[in-house]
Order: sequence, then structure tokens, then C-alpha cells
Amino acid sequence: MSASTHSHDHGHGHDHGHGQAHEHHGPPAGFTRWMYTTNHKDIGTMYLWFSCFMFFLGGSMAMVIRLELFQPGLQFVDPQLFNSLTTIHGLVMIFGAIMPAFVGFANWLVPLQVGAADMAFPRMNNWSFWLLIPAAILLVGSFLAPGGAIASGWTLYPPLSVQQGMSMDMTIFAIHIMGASSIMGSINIITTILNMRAPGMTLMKMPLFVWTWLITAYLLIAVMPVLAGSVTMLLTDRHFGTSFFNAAGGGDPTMFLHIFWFFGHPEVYIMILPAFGIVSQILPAFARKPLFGYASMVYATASIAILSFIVWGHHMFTVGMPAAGNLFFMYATMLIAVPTGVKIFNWISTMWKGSMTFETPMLFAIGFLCLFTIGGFSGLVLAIVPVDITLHNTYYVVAHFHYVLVSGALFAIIGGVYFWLPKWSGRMYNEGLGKLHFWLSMIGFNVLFFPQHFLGLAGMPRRIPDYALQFSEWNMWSSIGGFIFGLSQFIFLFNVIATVRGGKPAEQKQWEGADSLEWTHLPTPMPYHTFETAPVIK
Amino acid sequence: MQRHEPTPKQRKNAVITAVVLAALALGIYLTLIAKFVVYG
Repeated sequence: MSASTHSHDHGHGHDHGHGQAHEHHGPPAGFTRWMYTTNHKDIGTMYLWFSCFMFFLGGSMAMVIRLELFQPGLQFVDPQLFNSLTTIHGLVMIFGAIMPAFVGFANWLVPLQVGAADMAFPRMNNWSFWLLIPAAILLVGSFLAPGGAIASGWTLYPPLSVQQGMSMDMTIFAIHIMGASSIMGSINIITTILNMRAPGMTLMKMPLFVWTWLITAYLLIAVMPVLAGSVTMLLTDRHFGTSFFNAAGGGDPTMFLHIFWFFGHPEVYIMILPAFGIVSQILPAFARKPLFGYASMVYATASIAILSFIVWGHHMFTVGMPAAGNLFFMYATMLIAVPTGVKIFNWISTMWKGSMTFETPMLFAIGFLCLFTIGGFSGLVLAIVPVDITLHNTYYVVAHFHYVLVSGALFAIIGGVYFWLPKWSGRMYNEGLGKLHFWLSMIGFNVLFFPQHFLGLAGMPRRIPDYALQFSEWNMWSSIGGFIFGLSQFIFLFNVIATVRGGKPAEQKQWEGADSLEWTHLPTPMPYHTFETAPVIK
Repeated sequence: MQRHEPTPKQRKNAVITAVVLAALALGIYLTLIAKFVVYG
């Protein structure tokens, strides 16, 4: 993509006679800047710091889980609290860490990469973010409710979720609020991409990150109302005498599973498609080659999104669906390997014969590529009905989805932060610390989750605080890996804070091969307002 | 072309897009609820 611009991108612009001179200056000082901001960069920053906080909060719950599982027997937490920790860990990481992190990236990058001055609806953008705070307080605060936080698992299956205490109501309200936030954010992103692009920025010239977010936003709009509907019905079952999922009243608990996973499987892709977009920006930059097969990457992303709507049944092979249903979901699930394979092939081809260097973002992108592929393969294993019936609810499943969501989504987020931090902050991070962070994360992650494949194959069930003696050794290794992985994230936190507070000045185009508008058209550090005049894309 | 503010056409198209998407989301939610309320 080549582009040229005649824009005035500076922090202290002019009053163009619109009577809005205040918008051309830098940000106001203090808390009001963040409370009332409508600037996409500020809101992106808030999303990223919020997700960072929630990541460490959810991570601390994971540390307690691994501490308890270090040895067989009950050491530190009782079974009820253990199940609450696994449940809230999942909800916090999905709705509090991974999703807001990607929305933070979208806020920062979508306007910059399409050449827009800001998001289409800046005030709604502010509201989308601030809704997350009460939602997070409700969710995490449910630990203080009588009976403690919910212990049903993040999937909220009835009948347990119909029977639990007021913490379930708090969780249901939190999910409603987060859903509203996600839908508003998605509307904003789609509207910005479709309507606010710079002249000449056709859809097929957009960076792949923008494409993946466009498709993700459609997924969110399609499935978040389904989640909202399912938890609304759960709420009325609990308090208003309905029996949607209550077998005693003629309802069907299995129906909740169908509705939930109709949301839940696309949700997996909501958490991985933006990661594909980030990796598709990083790999070409450090291979110093254009992305191989750009158009096929776009079509593969759309194919994955469409297929995600017809595979939900693979999460519930054990509930007793007809054999034909099981077979349909098995084959449909396997079909997803085709567009995913296209992506893996294109990423490898992008690197092939490239002038590669291995700075921290590239290490995380390659780590993503290797480990996400392992997660994809274990997903194919679980797609096979008879195998899944054996492995259902075992640690094999836990290993699988952590390979997808940690070494997939999280590695891409971390790689993306290292990649764009010089542009965002105007300062360069410490490369040595970044590489140390990568290698400790890589080693810690694999020691943590790879043995869980063995544990699952040997029959260890998930969501238990105690286990049989034969599982002791791999659990010990898994916990050691967990502590390494968890502690190494403080290196990341330190590195980011040290960079923002006083890193060395970064260059305008810190990465030689980066070619999207924020690198080619904007100074470093970026002014508060960018693209006041639209760039013209050739 | 000054772009600090979206053009009137962009603003109009943005509102139309947003209304359609919001209606889609609300429609999915209400259809799901209505299906189970009416048919169980």
C-alpha cells in the first residue's frame, strides 16, 4: 500500500473557524481528561490499562488455583472457593482482559489505519468504556456476596446457575452491562470503518488488523444479544417464576447449552480474529515483506467467522444429541481447519526468504504461530466425537483452550503492545527485558499447559481442587510453569511503565518494514489529534 | 479537505449504519426471547 498525505498532524493546531479551538489543543489535565475524554487514543489507553489490571487480577486467581493443585489434597482453599476462583478467573480473563485489550487496540489503531480523525461516535465510545467499570465491580465484587462468587463455571449452566445465591444475579447484570458495552463498541468500529475511511482507502487496501476487527465486530453484534437473551431467561427463571431452563417446571436445561454455545463458539473467534490481525501486521514488518496472500487472508477470516455459527454443538457432544447432529458438528468443526490452515500457510510464506530480525514483537508473533497451531490441532482432536466423549471435561480441554487463548490471543496482545508502544508513547521499550519476558513466558507457558494434555489423557477431570495421586507429578510441573509464567508478566508490566515514564525516544518509523498509515504518515510521538486533514491514499 | 469534523454525508451515513446495526442487535435479542416465550 502506498499513500501520501497533506495533513497537518500536530498537537497545537489552528482554530479553523468552527468555534472549537479547544479541541485542537492537547488534552486537559487530571482526572477529567480520562472521565470525559472522547479521544480515541485516550479511550484506547484506558481500555488497555483496564485489561491489564483485570489480567493481573484474573492471573492472581489462576496462581491460587495452581497453588492449590501443586499437591494432591486440600491445602489452601475449600472446594466451593476453588470453583468460584475457576469461574471468575474465566469470566474476568474473557470479558475483562482479552476482549477489552482488543477493543483498546481497535480504538488506538482503527482510526489511524483508515485515516480517520477519530471514531464515528466519540461520546458513545467513552460510554462503552466506562460501562465496564460497574460491570467489573459487580463481577469481582460478587466474592463478597452471601455464599461467595458463583461456582458454576464461566458457562453458567443450569440447574446450578438457577439455584445459586445473589452472586449469580450480580454476574448476570455484569454480563448484561458488558454486552451492552461490547455492542456499542462494535457499532462504533463498524461505522468508523465503513464511513470514515480516508479518500482512496478502499476496503481491500485496509490493513488486515482493520479487516479482522470489522469481521469481529459483526460477530459481536450477532452473538452478544444471544448471550444477553440466555442470561435474561436465566434471571426470569430465578426470580419471576418462568421455567425456560428449569426441568421441574417443564423447561430444558440442555436448551441453555445450545443457546449459550451459539454465543460461546463465535466468542472464541471474537477473541482470536483480532489476534490474527495483530500478527498479520507484525510478521510482515519484521520479515520486511508484504503479507503473503492478503486477499485470501481476508476471505479466510470471513470464512472462519461464518463457520463459527454452525459448530456450537461440538461443545456438547456428551449431552445426547442424535448421531446425525454429532456428525454434522464434527465435520463442520473440522472444516474450520481449512481457512485456518490458509492463514498459517500465509504467515509462514510471509516469513519465507524474508530479511527477518527477531525483536520482541516478532518473537511473540512467532511464539503465537507455533503454539496457536498446537492449540488448533488439539481442537481437531477434540472435534472427533468419540475422542471428545472420552476427553470431555478433562484437563485435555483445559490445555487446548489455553493454547488457543493464552499463546494465541494473549501472546498477540503482548506482541502488539511491544510493536505499537514506541508509536503510542513515543518511547522505546527495553529490548533486553522484552526478550527476557518472551523466553520466560514461552518456557513458563509450555511447562504450565503442555503437561495438562497428559493429565487429561490420563483422565484427570477439570474444576476439581483435589485429585488422585497418579496425577501428582504433572500437576506439580504445571504449577511450577504457572508460577514462572505468572511472575514473568511483572517484567512486562515494569517494562511498559518504565518505557512510558522515561524510555529512549523512538523513531517515527521504529520498525523498518511497518507500512500502515500510523507508521508512514504520523510523527512519533503522535499528536493528540491526528488526521485533521485526511491522507490521500494512492 | 478539512476532516477534523466528519462531513455531513459521513455523519448521515454513520447514523444510518449505527441505527441499522443497533436494530439488528435488538432484533436478535427480542426474537430469541419471543421464541421461547411463545413456543417454550
